[in-house]
Amino acid sequence: MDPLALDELLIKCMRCGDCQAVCPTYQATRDEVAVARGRIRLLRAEAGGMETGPKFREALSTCLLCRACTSRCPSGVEVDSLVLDARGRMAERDGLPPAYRLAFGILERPPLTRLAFRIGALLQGAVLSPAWKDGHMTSRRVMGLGGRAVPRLRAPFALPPGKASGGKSEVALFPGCLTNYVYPQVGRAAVEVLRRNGVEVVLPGGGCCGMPMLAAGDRAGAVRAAEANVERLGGVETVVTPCPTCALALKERYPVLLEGRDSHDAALELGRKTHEMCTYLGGMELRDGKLAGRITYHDPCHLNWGLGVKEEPRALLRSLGLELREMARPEACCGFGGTFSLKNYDLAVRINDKKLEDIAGTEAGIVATPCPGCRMHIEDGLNRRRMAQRVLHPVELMAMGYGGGNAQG
Amino acid sequence: MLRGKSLEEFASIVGRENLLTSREELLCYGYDAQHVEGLPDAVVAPRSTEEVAKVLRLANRERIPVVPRGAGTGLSGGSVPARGGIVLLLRKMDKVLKIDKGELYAVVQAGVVNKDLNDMLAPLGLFYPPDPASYRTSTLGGNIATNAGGPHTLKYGVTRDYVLGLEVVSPTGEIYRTGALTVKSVSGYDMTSLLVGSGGTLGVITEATLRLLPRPEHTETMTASFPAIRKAAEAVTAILASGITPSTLELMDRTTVDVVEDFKHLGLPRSAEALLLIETDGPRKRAEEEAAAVAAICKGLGADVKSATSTEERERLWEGRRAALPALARLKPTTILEDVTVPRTRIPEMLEAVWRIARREGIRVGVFGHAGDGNLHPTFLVDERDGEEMERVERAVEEMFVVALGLGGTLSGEHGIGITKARFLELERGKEGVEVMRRIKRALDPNGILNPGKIFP
Repeated sequence: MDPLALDELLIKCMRCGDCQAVCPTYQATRDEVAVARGRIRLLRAEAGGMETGPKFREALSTCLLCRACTSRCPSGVEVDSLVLDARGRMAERDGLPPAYRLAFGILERPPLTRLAFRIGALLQGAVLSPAWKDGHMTSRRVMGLGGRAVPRLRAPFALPPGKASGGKSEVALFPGCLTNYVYPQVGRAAVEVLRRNGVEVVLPGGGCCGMPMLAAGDRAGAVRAAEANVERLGGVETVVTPCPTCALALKERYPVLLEGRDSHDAALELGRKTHEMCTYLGGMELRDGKLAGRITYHDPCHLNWGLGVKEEPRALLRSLGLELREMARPEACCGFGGTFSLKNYDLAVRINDKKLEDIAGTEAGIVATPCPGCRMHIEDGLNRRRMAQRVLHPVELMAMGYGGGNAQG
Repeated sequence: MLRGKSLEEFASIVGRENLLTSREELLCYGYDAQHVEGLPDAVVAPRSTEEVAKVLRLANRERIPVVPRGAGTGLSGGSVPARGGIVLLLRKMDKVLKIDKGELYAVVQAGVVNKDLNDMLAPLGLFYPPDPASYRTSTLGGNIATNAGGPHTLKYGVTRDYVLGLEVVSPTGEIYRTGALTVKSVSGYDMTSLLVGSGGTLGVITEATLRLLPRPEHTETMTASFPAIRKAAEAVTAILASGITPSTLELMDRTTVDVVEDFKHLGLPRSAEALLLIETDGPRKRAEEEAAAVAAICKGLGADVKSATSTEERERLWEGRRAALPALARLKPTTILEDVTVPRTRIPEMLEAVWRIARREGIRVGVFGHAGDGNLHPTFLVDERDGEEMERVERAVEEMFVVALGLGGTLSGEHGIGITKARFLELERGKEGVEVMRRIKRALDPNGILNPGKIFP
């Protein structure tokens, strides 16, 4: 961002401090350096020539990019854009950690990603041990895991055989990496639900949406991912994704990343025709499904604060006949924040603990949330606290509703 | 600059991890919610009253300025380290120690956030009435230090009316308590009243015992738009004269309503010179009767009245009032929010003066505020990078103060004097008045270390 444009954005902050009320890292630390107002003050100092030390990097790295502050800010300061811009500068100055460069290199190339996850699925039994939570693995010794529980890897998502009944329309599914490789069952449920409602699904072959690169400051990597996806998805009419972060990337970040490039118009078009899963389903006439059970719902930050969607997923769940018990603070961040939880696991756990308390308070057996990132982190927390709840994507519950039965079973 | 030895001593009192010295941290604890900033030499975050006392004793020995801070959302520079020294961060002492439902009081540490206390009280059918606009983020310690107000003061009073007692650390490091649990007490001087609103200059509040009330059963909400401000003022007087005390009586001027409409599109009438948001509360029948009477008075004075008939409608009417500052803040980079207060019958003259002064200096201004008690919030919209415009707004604000005092008003209804209004204090209090206050300050803080540079010019 050029200095004048940056200054115009930074000066909008009127320092009211309203961000404190909603910032997850402020709530966990009560430290001004860990809230939007403080981060913006530091950015103004940097723009004014201040040398940036480790504390500056820490302050900018611990932002979850959840957008709670932006949605509340009286002046409409785009905090996440400013933080992402700063991370780009930091990455240029300090370079990316080698592990990130390796990971992003893999994510950029779908065949390599697929291979990496296949290898992971093969080796997980040897390197990791089963966690307390069913279907999860863990290890203290494996680098990067640090005792957290991760889902046991299965075969990556592939379009199930079959066709839509009636086939009135067609959408392209953009699964995103977590659905592709960690929760393929969500992809299959999404296809099932769409087909039952007469919507055929095609899989143009998606790579990573580029958000991990962007969040780490690897702007060039994010641009490459964006260009690749804009091209791959250019020929379709509608794109649906079961991941709110991918949706946000495709809808809001790509037009910014690709500004001034030949692909910019196509990026704008992609943004317009991309829909998050529950939002898309919410706009359709759906077949009735029926499912009994007591559930609670967690609002993913990128869906609620980012895309402004909170009612549609709830309406879908209620229409199944499920008993929806709202937790205290359903919109409170789960603490995942993507790469945030890798670098700041302690803080991610502290934030997550509050979410787990709120979940426990509902006495619901299932947590419904349409974000695979939130799901992974909440499942890790449930494992940590030995809580028996399951986490499911609303589209999985809908698929179960078409098959009939009880969500608790 | 602090000596290394002092920093070591602070670290040994509060724990190394609670002493912040990086440049980044110092910057982040050098501002509050207005545009004048400072830079501390260190930030010290105590975990207990005893640690606060030890910190103050050390500060006195070494003559280190101490600036108490809660959430740092003040509007007059009260928690800005104007003369360096340490910021004493109380935000982390945030436990609610006791809630007594029978006796109707709560005991809280200074760092408890206003809303967090009320969230705990709501399921018990209780509430703590003072709700300044910052209630979601400001601490009770900060509320007490500024005698915070809000939209409900006309009926419910200010913070001072709800402080039964305090635990204080004196500027020289002694711990003592003020007030009593009982409604009445005249045992010695009323130190509570002196400390409430003293802006962190006479002692550090570490704990407060706060009076609670049962939540009102029912609330009625309406807006009344008046084509002329004088009619709105007449309505305010008439309502109060009729024996009704609305629980809310808020005002927005035409500029504010216009800007809110541009931002939120709520259907508020742009033609109104004054828009009032009025609420009555209490037992259902009484609240409804009073609301009807209020609506009749307003209509009789030419107002267009809209009453909320559902929770959603009530929320929408409040959205307009709450959007006042955010909507205005979007117009220009810097917002200068004042809170001159005048006797309510002089509101029309004060408003007309603010409009006239701003027009003459070429500054855009929107005025909203608490019509029931005359506490207005003229909001000047400027760009702090434009030195010439800042000079003009300084002149406008000064003249506004002179007019307010001339109308029998006061410089600040809620925000406090802090840094930004110190040079006007003598205008309101006179030389003798200020001198008596200085004597109290010197008696309690002989070394002048507690929040220096505030209140007094």
